[in-house]
Amino acid sequence: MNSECRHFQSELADVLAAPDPAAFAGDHAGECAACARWLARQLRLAGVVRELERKTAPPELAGRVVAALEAGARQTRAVRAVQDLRRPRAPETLDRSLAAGFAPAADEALARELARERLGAPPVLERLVVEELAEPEKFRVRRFVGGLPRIDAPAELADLVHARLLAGNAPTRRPRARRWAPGPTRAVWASLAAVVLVAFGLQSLLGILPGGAAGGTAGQPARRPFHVQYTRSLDDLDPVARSLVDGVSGGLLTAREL
Amino acid sequence: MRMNSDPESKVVRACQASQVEGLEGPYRELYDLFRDRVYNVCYRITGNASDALDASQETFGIVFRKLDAFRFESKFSSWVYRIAVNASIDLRRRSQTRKIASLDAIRERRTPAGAPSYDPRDERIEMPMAAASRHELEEEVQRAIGRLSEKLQAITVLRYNENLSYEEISQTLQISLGTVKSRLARAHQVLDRELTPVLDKFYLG
Repeated sequence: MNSECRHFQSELADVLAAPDPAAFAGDHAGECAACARWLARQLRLAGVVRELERKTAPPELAGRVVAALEAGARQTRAVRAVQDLRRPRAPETLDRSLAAGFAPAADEALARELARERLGAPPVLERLVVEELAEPEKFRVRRFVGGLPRIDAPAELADLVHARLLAGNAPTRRPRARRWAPGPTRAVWASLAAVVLVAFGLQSLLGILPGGAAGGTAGQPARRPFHVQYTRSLDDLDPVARSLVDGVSGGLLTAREL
Repeated sequence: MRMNSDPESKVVRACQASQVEGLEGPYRELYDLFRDRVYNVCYRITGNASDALDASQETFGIVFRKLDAFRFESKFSSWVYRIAVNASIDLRRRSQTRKIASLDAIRERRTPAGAPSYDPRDERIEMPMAAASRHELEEEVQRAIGRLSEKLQAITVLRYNENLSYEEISQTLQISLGTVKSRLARAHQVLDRELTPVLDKFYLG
């Protein structure tokens, strides 16, 4: 390949673009067999590539383009909607509150304003705290009971009350429990009973002791001294005697104090 | 300017003035004008129907989204071709691994026996592309195009498949006329090396 051949081949694009490539190639193609074969190959290559079947767009392309356009439009609308969103404004007191944060005593009026803007605790909180400090168990029970579900009276209750009213002996109120009141007569009887019981109790107790009561000699039970006291008031009783009487009477004295 | 001679300017302006969304009215007309051209370029660069469909879809998506911004500073078809070439090249890059795998399969293939010989001077002989084995030859040519670099591929497809002039290719790819010619010469060099043995075997037996 000489310089003429290289020059000839460098003008390939122009040769290929010419309406008559063979004529455009000039004399060199007629004189140089190698370049003539080379040009023939290039023309053949161009022809083969040019004759490739033209592909037509498949029908589904339109649908896909529409879908892509709709997706693009949705995206555009979404971006626009987000851009149009109203931006929340900072409260007007923010700047001043920040400034006040650096110099708390600088603006007392602002502090009061901020205090008003704060959310307040509900009023019931104060009452709950007071109850918790005063009698926590009591108020907890009360709140618990108060929170129990209400149970409706059964339907037959109305019939029952109605029948009682018709019978004429329906109790208007529940009989109150009779409270034990220490009247004078009762106190006397109670005192006597106590003294007797104490006496009998002590006597039987002393009787089983060896040596009898207080001052007993050897072989005889010791005889203990005892004291009889007459009283008109249960409050004046000796605590020991009182406990004894209370035990003997089945809790009569304790019941009186309830 | 040359814009007055742009055959697509009327429909492009109609699209720009249209408020219709989707593939309706002038958009449909524009799509019909370019669908085969775009798909063909995409197919020849990507080398398969699936990627060509994806690239075509992307091309039309870009074209329709940016249509309002088109200022007729170049030929509209050049703009569309440029988008199609770029979309196809992008897709081809993404599916490079798959391409390599298919090239291995190409090399294992055998040229079909009994292929008719071809004498270009003999006009009575049926063109080889119309022969029974035309499909296989097409595949070989397509694979050879696929082996070109992206730049040479774009030049080859635009020149021989879309019949663009050198000036139009220059405008489409935004390169000089001299670059177009030199790239086309290089493309021929590669195709000569790749395809001549196949073509000789195919035509001469």
